[in-house]
Amino acid sequence: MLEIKISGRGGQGVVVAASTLGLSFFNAGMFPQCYSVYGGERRGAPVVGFLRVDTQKVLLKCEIRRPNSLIYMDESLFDAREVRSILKDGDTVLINTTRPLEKLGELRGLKVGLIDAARVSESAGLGKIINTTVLGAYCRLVGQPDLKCLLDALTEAITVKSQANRDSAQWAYESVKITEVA
Amino acid sequence: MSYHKFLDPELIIPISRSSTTAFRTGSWSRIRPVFEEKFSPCSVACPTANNIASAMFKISQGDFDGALAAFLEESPLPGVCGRVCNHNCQSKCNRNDHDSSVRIRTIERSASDHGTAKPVQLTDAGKKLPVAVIGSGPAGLAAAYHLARMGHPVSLLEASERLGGLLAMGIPGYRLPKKVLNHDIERILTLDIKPITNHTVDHEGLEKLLDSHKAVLLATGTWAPTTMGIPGEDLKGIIPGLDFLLDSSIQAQVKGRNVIVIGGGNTAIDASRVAMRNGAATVSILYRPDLDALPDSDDEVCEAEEEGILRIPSHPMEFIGEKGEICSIRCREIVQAEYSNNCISSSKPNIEFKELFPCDVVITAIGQTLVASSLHSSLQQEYGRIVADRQGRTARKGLYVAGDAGPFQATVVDAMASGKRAAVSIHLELTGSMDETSTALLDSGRTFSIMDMFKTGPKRNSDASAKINRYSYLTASETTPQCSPTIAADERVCGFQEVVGGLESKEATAEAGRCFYCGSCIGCDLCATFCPDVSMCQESGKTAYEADPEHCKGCGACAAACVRGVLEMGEEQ
Amino acid sequence: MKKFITGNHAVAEAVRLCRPDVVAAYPITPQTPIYEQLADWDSAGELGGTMVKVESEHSAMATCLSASLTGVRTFTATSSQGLALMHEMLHFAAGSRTAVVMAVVNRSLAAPWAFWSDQTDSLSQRDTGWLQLYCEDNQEALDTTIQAFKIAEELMLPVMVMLEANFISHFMEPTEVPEPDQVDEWLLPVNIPRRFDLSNPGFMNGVVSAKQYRDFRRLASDAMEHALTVVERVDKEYESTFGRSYGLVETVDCADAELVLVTTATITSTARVALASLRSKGIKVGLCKLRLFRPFPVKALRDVLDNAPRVAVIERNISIGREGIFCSEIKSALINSPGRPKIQGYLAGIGGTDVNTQLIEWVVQDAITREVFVDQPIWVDDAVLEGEAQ
Repeated sequence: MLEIKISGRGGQGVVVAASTLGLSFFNAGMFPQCYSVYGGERRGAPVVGFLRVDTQKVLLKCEIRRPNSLIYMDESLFDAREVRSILKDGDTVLINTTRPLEKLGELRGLKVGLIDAARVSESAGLGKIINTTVLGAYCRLVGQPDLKCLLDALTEAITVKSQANRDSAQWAYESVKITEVA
Repeated sequence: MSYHKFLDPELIIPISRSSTTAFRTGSWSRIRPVFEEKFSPCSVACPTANNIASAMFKISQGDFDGALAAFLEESPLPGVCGRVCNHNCQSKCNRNDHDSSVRIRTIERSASDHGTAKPVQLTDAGKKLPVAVIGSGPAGLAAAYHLARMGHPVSLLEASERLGGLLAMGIPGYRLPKKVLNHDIERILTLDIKPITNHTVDHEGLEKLLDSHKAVLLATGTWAPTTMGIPGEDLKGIIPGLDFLLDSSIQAQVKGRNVIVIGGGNTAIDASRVAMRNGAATVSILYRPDLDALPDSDDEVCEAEEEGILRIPSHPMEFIGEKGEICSIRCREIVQAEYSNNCISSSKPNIEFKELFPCDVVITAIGQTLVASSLHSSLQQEYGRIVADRQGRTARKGLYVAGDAGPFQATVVDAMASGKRAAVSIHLELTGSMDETSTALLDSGRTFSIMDMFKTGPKRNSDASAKINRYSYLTASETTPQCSPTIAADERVCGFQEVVGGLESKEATAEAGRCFYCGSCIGCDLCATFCPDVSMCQESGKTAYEADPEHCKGCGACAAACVRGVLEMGEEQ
Repeated sequence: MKKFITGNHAVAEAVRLCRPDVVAAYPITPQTPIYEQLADWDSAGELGGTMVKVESEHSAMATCLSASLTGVRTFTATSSQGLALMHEMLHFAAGSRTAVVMAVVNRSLAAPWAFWSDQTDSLSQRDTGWLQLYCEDNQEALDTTIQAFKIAEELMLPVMVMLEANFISHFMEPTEVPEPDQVDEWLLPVNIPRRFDLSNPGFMNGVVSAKQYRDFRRLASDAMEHALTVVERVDKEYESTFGRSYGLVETVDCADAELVLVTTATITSTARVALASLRSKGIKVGLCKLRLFRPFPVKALRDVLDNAPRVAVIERNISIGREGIFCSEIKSALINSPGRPKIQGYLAGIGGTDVNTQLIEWVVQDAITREVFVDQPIWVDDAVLEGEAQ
């Protein structure tokens, strides 16, 4: 079972990203379960979205304590030591960053995806909106769901600038840098 | 559909499909709601007790004829009063506490403008008891009207060539057009009244009248000017106010002259505005705040000021002349106390005090008194009026007095009211039906309603007007009164065209709809709606609501719900 | 049609499918999305009925119960403080034998202020005369809401459908939403008596005598007893059309169980995972999910629990001064039973705290090895797991 944690800040669209990613898995015939945790609903406060994805109905109705896949929509929330303590070898982590892998700390054994989401979103005409862009990169990193399932989910869930969101996700899918850190 | 016992909808909750009439709740109580229409505060403030609430409701329903009929119940001159009355009613309007009073006077005018109605005969008991009325001003006309409605043949004697007295001669046409007055008078003359014009009555004439008639009512008014008692009053160019208003050749003399009018009341305002219309160069009013009567209403003061007339509080001390003609007035300073005590609101800033007021013409309008004739000198007088009681009875049996000639308030509507009281007093005396109730109604109370007199059953108490349910109008929306069309000041001073116009019927309907109809049942049905015993009903064709004694348990919900204070709780009869 | 939606959205879908005539509700976290979704559909003209704006939950219930008396289908939803404010009208709705259906999102009651799952809000309404059904997941919340209309309208008793804050209200899951014509066929147009009817006027709920009051209570109590049959039958009818049913209670692996774990709502779902893990370790544990709370399915519970030597009740609510409310009820249901199993109450998840598989496994281990069963509840949380680790 894939257990995903998406970390970001209020205003970045973490909740929408989580539910859209869930919808993508749902479109792919999987059994996702999705929820978000947010306290004071204000811009800038840390917000976390969670997903469980399985090939059969997810029965667990409790917190995800040890996710096996992490998405950081905001680099300032990323901490290599913490990530390493949560994930096991071969687990995935996607970071929205402009920095190269070497500058991010010790991530040995993990499959790391790096995406400069701001640049991709900007060029797709989305300005500073990066949540759907990050999802494109994530699909490629994890190998599921299919990009098509994500693009269908974006069509269904995002009604504003729908095409730009799809473009951005696709470009991110194509441009994400994936490294299995040895 | 059949149900389990515990699912039958008619059995699983307490539900009654029969009516509660089986419960004779009426036996529980000794108190019941009493339906009694009451005077509205405006009616009590109206000297002639017009049934304003009823007239308002009728106009609000578009019934101008019905409204005019309601006014004619108590007063014969709706066209006149709808224009010149001092409308005390409006100051007592409950709507004042909410937004602004209903424009009652304007509505009376609308009833007269848009409605037609005939006077209603009250009784023919006075048929063989002729009465003479001397004077055809508001008091004389009202007395003749009511006497005739009670069956008395009336001889209406008028010294001048036409009827109306002060209304015809003293009130300028821009306030009261002649055709309006004539319309009201024509209506009065449809009754058994014989007008005799150009007929002056002297002392001997009075004696003859007393012989030939069962009673005589004196309503001659006050036509002699009062003097000021200061030096220079005999100078040329000083004209008494009424003389000025009566004589157009005197009026013509003010053209191009500087005119000062002395006095504060209606005559002063009218004289100044007539002077303005006759081309006076300037017109100022000097009024003595502590002495002079105030005009009947603010409206006229404002209109006069708009027309360029200055009002200056001042105390004339001496008329100064040159070669026997007036040239200026010397005044003494007004002290602040005198000024602020009795000063009507003015749109103009305070005028700076001057000691000497130069002028070409002075019109004195500081009040009138009885004409010194043989008729008056034979009667007992006090304060320049003939002595009489509230019913107008003089010391001499069969001789009555009404209007300004008697000890009554000197306004048009008060004159009419005194005429009505005297008429009823005469009728009761002549028909031998004066009793305790009638005496009480005539002598006490703030106003007097002739309709109440002729109504069977208990009479309304005019000292206690309807207490209306103030919570009810918290929910009424605030509205602005309808505006009467008014001619611009610079246009109206060029002639004697009526300054203020009437409302269109639609506007009048809207304005009358603002009325709360205090003390009058309008059939709103709230009492019936709130009665928990469904016991309030309105008999078909009747206006009164009655509680069914079998079911009314005297809870008082109807009385509490009655917006207009018509229902009140009382002992069971 | 399968949709990926929250539990709130699932309830709203159910309500729309049931074509209510009157919906009156007042927003309160975490129920608000139900209200918002219905309002969106209403403004788009897709709801069909009338949405009444009210100024409080008290008025929402007053509106619904009055509307129900005129013979129409009614729905409302609330949570926590809103439910507490409604309390007086809940008695009126039941006492007037209306068929109001209400979704309650279980949320902790203030004070202190909090937003997470806790069942004490609806359990505090135990004695109002409403039926109460507790749901395990989004699908069950949707299905139970549809069933609730049929049950309420047949019994003329109001029904509460409980879904937990967060774990259902805000968790998105694949949920089967039935086709409208299927629901139309299963749930016929409302046919309840019009007790407020202009053509047949009546005066209801007047003052009654003590004896009359007693008799009306008795009738309501009889109807509630009868509800056990109706809830079961309706659930079966639902299964025959939609292929899903839930029962009054549901049992898993109870036949040979040395310990039966009793759960309600979402803890059940997590417990299913724990149970599988425990069984794989050879531990003979069974699971009994209590779905219907009012009327209390005494017989159904006895049938399951009477044969089990040990019973552990784990629950997310507390009657302060006693124990978990379900535990008390289960103890009282078994007091006259021949088997008389030992029963231990555990409090887990109060205030929305996490109840995971490890916690449930700890409870099972504790109950199965325990020598003395105590009358006080045992509080379990992460601390007991840490204690275990030490």
